[in-house]
Amino acid sequence: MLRSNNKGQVGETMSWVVATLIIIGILIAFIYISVLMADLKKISLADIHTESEQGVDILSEKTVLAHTLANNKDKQQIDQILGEKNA
Amino acid sequence: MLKKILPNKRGDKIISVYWFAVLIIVAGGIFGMVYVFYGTPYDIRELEVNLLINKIADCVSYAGRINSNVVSEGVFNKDFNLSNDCNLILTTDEWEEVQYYTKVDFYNINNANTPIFTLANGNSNLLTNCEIQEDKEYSKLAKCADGSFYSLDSLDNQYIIKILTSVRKAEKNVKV
Repeated sequence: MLRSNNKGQVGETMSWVVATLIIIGILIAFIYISVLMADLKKISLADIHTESEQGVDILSEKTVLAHTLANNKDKQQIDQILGEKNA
Repeated sequence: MLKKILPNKRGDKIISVYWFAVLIIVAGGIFGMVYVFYGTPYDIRELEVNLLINKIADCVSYAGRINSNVVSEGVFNKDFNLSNDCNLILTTDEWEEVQYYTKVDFYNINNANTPIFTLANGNSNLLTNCEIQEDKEYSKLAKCADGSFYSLDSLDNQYIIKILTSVRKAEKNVKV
């Protein structure tokens, strides 16, 4: 009668240990990625687009309308003030 | 002579336990990933503050002219209420404290540093959060945004209007 090879068993066990470490490493990496992705769960105005609103800034539109009504009076000064306030 | 190899039953048992341990680790990892991702709420406060700015801007000024209820014949109406006159319902039973703050400053174009008239509504305590909100550590505080535009009154007086809005609602938008 022969016992199964001890060296083979050690080799198999080592394979399992390495495989487990790799699996744990991959899981940690994926958990880290899901943490990063969870941080990105923010919805801003730029994410909401409708065909009518796309690319239109309501405040800029209002400023342009007011400039038109005022015949562009003091336009440069006003745009400079707005640039500073919106910076 | 035929040699019989005895199977190592003890080793097989250990491998089976090991296999289950790996399964549990993988299942735990997948649970962790799903829990972390789906347990984090969507933060829509940035969207809310910008929508609030647009809504107030539409109320205060339309088609380049300031609402006549705000300024009439060059005189500002101190009774103008942002929530009532702009149809903004900012209080709900869900929250004990008001979770919003809105402020509209009117500046003369010749002195853009000091507002000549201010309309404010909501919880003014949120205003202090605005200065430190950029730091990620303070993401549980209120989100703030501001925007400025130019408008005229009925007498063609020129004004710069600055709108500041702040939304807290951290418990619903940030993982606590």
